[in-house]
Amino acid sequence: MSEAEFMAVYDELADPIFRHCVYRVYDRERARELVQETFTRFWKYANGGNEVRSAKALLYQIATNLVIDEARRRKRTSTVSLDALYEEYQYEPGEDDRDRLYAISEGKQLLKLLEELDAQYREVLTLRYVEDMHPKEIAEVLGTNRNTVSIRINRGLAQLRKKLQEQHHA
Amino acid sequence: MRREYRHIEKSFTTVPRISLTEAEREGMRAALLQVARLSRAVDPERSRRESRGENPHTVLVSQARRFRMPRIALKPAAAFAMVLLLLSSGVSYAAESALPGEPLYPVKVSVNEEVRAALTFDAEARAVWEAERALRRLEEAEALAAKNELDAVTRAEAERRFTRAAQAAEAKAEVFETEGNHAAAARVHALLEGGLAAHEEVLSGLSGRVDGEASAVLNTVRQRRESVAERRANAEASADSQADRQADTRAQASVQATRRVAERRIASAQSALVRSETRLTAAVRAEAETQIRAAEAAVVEGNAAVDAGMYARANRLFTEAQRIARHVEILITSSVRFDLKVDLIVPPPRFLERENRGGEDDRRPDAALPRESRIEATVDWRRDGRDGGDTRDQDRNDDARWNDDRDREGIGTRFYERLNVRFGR
Repeated sequence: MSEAEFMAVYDELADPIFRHCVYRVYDRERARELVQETFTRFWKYANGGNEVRSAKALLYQIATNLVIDEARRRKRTSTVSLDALYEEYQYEPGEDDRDRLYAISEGKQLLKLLEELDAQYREVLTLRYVEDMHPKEIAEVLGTNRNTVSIRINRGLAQLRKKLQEQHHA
Repeated sequence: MRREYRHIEKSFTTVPRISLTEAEREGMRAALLQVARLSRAVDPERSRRESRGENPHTVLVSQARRFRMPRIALKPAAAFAMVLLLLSSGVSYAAESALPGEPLYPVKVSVNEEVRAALTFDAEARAVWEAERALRRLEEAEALAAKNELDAVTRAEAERRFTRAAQAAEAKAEVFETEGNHAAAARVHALLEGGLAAHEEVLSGLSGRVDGEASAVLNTVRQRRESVAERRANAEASADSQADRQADTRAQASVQATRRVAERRIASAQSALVRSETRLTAAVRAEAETQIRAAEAAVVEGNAAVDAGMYARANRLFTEAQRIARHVEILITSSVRFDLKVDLIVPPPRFLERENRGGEDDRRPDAALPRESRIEATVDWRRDGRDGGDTRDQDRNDDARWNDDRDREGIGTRFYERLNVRFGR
């Protein structure tokens, strides 16, 4: 893989991989470091004479592994609030952006609920709906089969709906 | 299929797509590129094997570890405090002239420029700043080319940075379009167009002097300028019809805004001329002055159009004055900076092109521009004797290019002048 190819991969996937990490470690700073580590490892792997069939799948796999390592090490003492997560999120509210602001607060709620889901469901749901990935692609990324992915998506949605209803009644 | 979940699926669209900030993305990119390059540079044998299509075997872990992303992405308040600190220590100031690859470059792009953007509250000023950032990326590419450091990789990087910045500026202009503020969009485009045209000239001057990849950048800039010119024409057309429909007071307010910007630009070009005066030859100075006068004449004419209630025409004249002023200013400063013998071509004012073609535009009065703004082509071919023999070939090439340009664009010599700038030491 050439430097230019590597940079092209980076340009395309830096943000998705960053999101993939952020929604798992809930720490923007840490997620950024994980992204850097992910791409560094990816380069070493690709440059070490290994064949890369799908850069995307490989990157997600590396990132997922790093996130898991991270969780083991820290036992996730997540004290970082969602607001902190958004602090640097590039969004500047204007005067008549009320709709977008509402949408954002709704989105934040959804993210909070997602955090409460089982990790395996959270993972497929964000890949499916935030990253707009096809179940087949998700299967490739997670190293599982498409059927499992579809089942997880369904169950994840069911869990999410339950939580939404609970919240609604509360 | 899953109708019961449709609502939930839809609500995912409200989840904000958290992303890296521009500064974070760029900083990380630079660090990764460094990692990639180092692992190659340390083991030339491997890159050779690789280029022959064989598999490399060595993995250099330690090299990669040493490079961490520079932690320069700060929260705005912190960034502001940081800049104050840096300013007082001179770092921020020193960073202003940093080039890609230099230690202070991230400070320039991620701190200085970001803070300036953050402190710019007016939407148009912000769009203008984005356009200026794109032009700054070109200045950097030129500076690298002048130092003979623009190889294939740095060139690709420079082009990418430029394209990104230009797209950001265009996106801002597009917002004006969607908001119906076509005059503002035209102003931003005109500024960018004038600047890009100037950099085309600087780059073409450089590509004749250095072996690097300046001519490749030149192509990128040319394409961008053409698309910007098109956008500008569209925005102007929309602004025209808008001015016709609008109540007088509103159109007048918009036109005054354009006039103010034009006057500022002209003043800025003038002060650039004054600053560099001693380093310009008499011929160049005269040409630059003539250009500035042309811009001023456009403003005078524009004022007359305002008085006559022809706001669409006034808008065009003021916008045109902005473009000329920005073009001239960049040419002056770049020529001095790179000690460059630049062949400067300032395209003729648009409203004049039309006049030449004859009255297509009903709104335009018959009054033509004042005499002094009609510039005869003054092509100065005198050369420094020191340049040696092969410059004459260069001259011929330049001539051919110049004539080609002129023929292709079908523009009469009268308003299409060439500033032949020379700075002998």
